[in-house]
Amino acid sequence: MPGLPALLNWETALKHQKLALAIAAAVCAAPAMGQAQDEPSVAELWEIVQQQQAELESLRAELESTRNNTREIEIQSLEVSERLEAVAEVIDSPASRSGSSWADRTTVGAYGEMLYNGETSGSSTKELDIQRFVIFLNHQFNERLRFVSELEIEHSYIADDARAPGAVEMEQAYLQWDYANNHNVLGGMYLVPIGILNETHEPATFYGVERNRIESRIIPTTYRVNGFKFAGNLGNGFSYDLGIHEGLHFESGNGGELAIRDSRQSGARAEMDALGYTGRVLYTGTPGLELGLALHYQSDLTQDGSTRSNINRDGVIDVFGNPVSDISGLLTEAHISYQSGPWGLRALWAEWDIDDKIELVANNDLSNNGLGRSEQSGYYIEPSYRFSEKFGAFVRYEFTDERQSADINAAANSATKRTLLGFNYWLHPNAVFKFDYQFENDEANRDLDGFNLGVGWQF
Amino acid sequence: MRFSGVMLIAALLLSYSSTFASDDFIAPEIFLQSVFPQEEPETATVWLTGEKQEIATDILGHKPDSLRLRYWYAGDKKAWIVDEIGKTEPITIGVVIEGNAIADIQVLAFRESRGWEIKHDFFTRQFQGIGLNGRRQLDGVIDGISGATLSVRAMNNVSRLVLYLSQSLDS
Repeated sequence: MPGLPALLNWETALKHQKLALAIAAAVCAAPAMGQAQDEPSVAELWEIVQQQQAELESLRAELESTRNNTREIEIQSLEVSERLEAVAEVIDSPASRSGSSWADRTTVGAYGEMLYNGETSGSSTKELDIQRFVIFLNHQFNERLRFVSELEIEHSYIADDARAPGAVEMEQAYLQWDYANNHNVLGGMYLVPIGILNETHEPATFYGVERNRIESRIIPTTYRVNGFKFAGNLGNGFSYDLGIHEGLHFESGNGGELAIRDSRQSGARAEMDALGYTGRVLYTGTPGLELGLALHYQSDLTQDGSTRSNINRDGVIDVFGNPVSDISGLLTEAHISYQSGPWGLRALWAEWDIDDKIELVANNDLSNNGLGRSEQSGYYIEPSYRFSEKFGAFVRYEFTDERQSADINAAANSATKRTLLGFNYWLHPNAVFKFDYQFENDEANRDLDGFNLGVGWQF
Repeated sequence: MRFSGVMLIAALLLSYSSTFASDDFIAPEIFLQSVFPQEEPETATVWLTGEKQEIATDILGHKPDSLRLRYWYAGDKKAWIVDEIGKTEPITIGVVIEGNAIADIQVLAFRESRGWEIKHDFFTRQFQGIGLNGRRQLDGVIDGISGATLSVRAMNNVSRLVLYLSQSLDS
């Protein structure tokens, strides 16, 4: 407490003064002992007492002043403390931190990855590629309405040049409205709610340098569509999604245009003669566990035999050159994703059941490209072990067959099987280094053994 | 289009047939009443300055948003209410510390569009009895929620922070 030492000194001085007065009084009261020459006179003593009294009064006044100063300092200190608390209250208040400008309610995020493929992707060369560079831009209008978007650049270089394999793609752009507690509806471009990776595929969230082949070829991840989707929680760990959206668009062409992956319209002036419908139920009521079941249906994968307006070729034709339409398709998918302590397990199965009419569908040169495609399926199983916060290892077995319903001619030896071993090293929870080695042992005896490396980030 | 109508009706029925009560927001007063049912707790603040700010930054992965954290206490029990960003929005988390361990944790407000699972007992009960180890990490295993990694991380970090602050007050 400021001034306290000074106050104590004054009090001590007062005590000394009182003692001095007492001694002086004792001297005055003592009988004269015949030493008249050394003793002060009564007048002198009275003068001394007067002086002492004056000093005492002066000390008393100073003490009072010091006490007042100390009280003043205490009051000021309290006021400063209260003001500091008030300032902190304002700075810490939700209104102050939430901000009223649009910038305060807008967030930016990103993810991306650079991958090395050692002749493991079916191409004849080793490749090092900025496979994707993605920006998220989101805005919260209010507590119940938000905008979500995702823009991607693939393979880094886009030009009108065969050596520029890049692409710029919208992957999400929707408004989402929480119209009821625990339920929402969105409209715009969104990710189809199917599989494990289609909605969550940032690099640090999965093992393996590349995405698994089932969730690339059977479920055409990243499968994004224009449309509307309802979603919500049902309680007890169950949630649902119901989407109405653009569908796939098969065409006869010069090669792979009947592949599921190559039939995505990706929201680009999508043909809407036949809508797509997706329904999913998820169970996440046990920590670490996700069980999912999804159905994806389209009444006509040819979009009524139409041709994409920017490509000058026929819709879908059969081996006789006749137009084909009304090819329906149903994709069924089920998965489990489980992480308990260091142990992890992912397993997924997906199957297409497509109208038999596809079996006679041909390319433009009437070669039977549709043979075997009425059934397409794949599955994988992936146990993993997280040794520490930074290091985890996995093994994955995959089976895929895009032309499963026939085993002759072009549909022969269409199944692929591969085993991968690898690890992730997390430099940070949002930054990862990946390695895997794949053993490709498919019916076509393609030699795709080799290793892959990857660096990924997200924030 | 008929199928579209069926799906629309199904969605509307599902949104009105939910059987669980809305638990999107628990008022702080309600939370504190549940923690201190028999007595009126005292309240105090901890200033996140100096060493406390450094350690809080290390735990959260970013500088704390607040200059101070308020807590309520009675006997050996302390209750904290902390906001922490999940993916993009703040989650309001109430934590009860008894001794050196978490007695209870509740999500008082959840504003994200995904990761709602962290609000529910099947997830939060994992935190009961958890304390801090020597590296200021939680000394027990918390199984996450698939697709809600950032919300789970926010819960873990807030738990670590209040455990650390409670220990620093006790010492």
